[in-house]
Amino acid sequence: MKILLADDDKNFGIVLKNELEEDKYTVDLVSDGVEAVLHFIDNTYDFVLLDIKLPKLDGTNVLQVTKKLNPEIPAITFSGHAGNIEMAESIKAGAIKCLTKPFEIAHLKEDFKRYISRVG
Amino acid sequence: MGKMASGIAHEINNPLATIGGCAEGLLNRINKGQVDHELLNYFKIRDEEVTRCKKITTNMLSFVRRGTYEKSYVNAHEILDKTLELISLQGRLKGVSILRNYGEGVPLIQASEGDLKQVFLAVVINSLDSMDDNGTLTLETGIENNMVFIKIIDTGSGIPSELKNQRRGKRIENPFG
Repeated sequence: MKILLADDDKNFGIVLKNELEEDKYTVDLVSDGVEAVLHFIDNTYDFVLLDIKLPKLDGTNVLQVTKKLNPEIPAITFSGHAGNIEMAESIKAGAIKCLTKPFEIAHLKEDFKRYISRVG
Repeated sequence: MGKMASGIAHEINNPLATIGGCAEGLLNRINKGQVDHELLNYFKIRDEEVTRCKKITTNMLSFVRRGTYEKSYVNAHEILDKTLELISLQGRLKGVSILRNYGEGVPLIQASEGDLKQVFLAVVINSLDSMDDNGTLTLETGIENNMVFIKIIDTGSGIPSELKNQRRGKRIENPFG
């Protein structure tokens, strides 16, 4: 499974990418919203993980673009300081769920497994 | 202040998420008996994030420390920079271009650092609100008529004309109102 991960928090991005790669997922890490969209256009992903507060283009806008390009793409958003309205907007844009940092990476992995078993 | 405290509390969630992730990664590797480069890297990242948390709380405390409210000779540029640093901890400057047009030879001014920070903070947050955290914020200082001036200029919507005509609005433009 190939995942697009967008987070401008460098260390969090590195740790999350490492931990997902430990479970044999392939992860592309980008640090802003424009880069995320460009990666999504140039590659085929199975899952998208987006921080809501991204520089250049916020995570919800990235999600709206990716959903236009591929309405079936599953996505989870997360944030350390987004408000309730922004979090709700990302769900409205099509995110499966929106997590508040800090969250357990193990729970995120469980979400992946649940999603894979559901779509087969 | 409440909005600022909430913003900073949320900003601590970012390093906490990384520290939590490192702890999970370390535990997984210990359970698997896996000693690799990442194991050492996670300790390094954890230390960086703990330092980041400390910087956030130190900055926050500098706003409430009694000593900083006593009058002394202070550097306006340093206080402007410290104020911006505190706001950046809330993640509100990501979409904002900051222009610093600090005048040369601006002398120290006799003021309370804490009070000045509070004023700068209120004005800058007002600017960011008016720009929806996107635009250009210009900080300008210099000397005019033997006095130091400090200008905080934003590219936001400005004060609505209907508000300007109200009694409260008029007071905004009157420095002694």
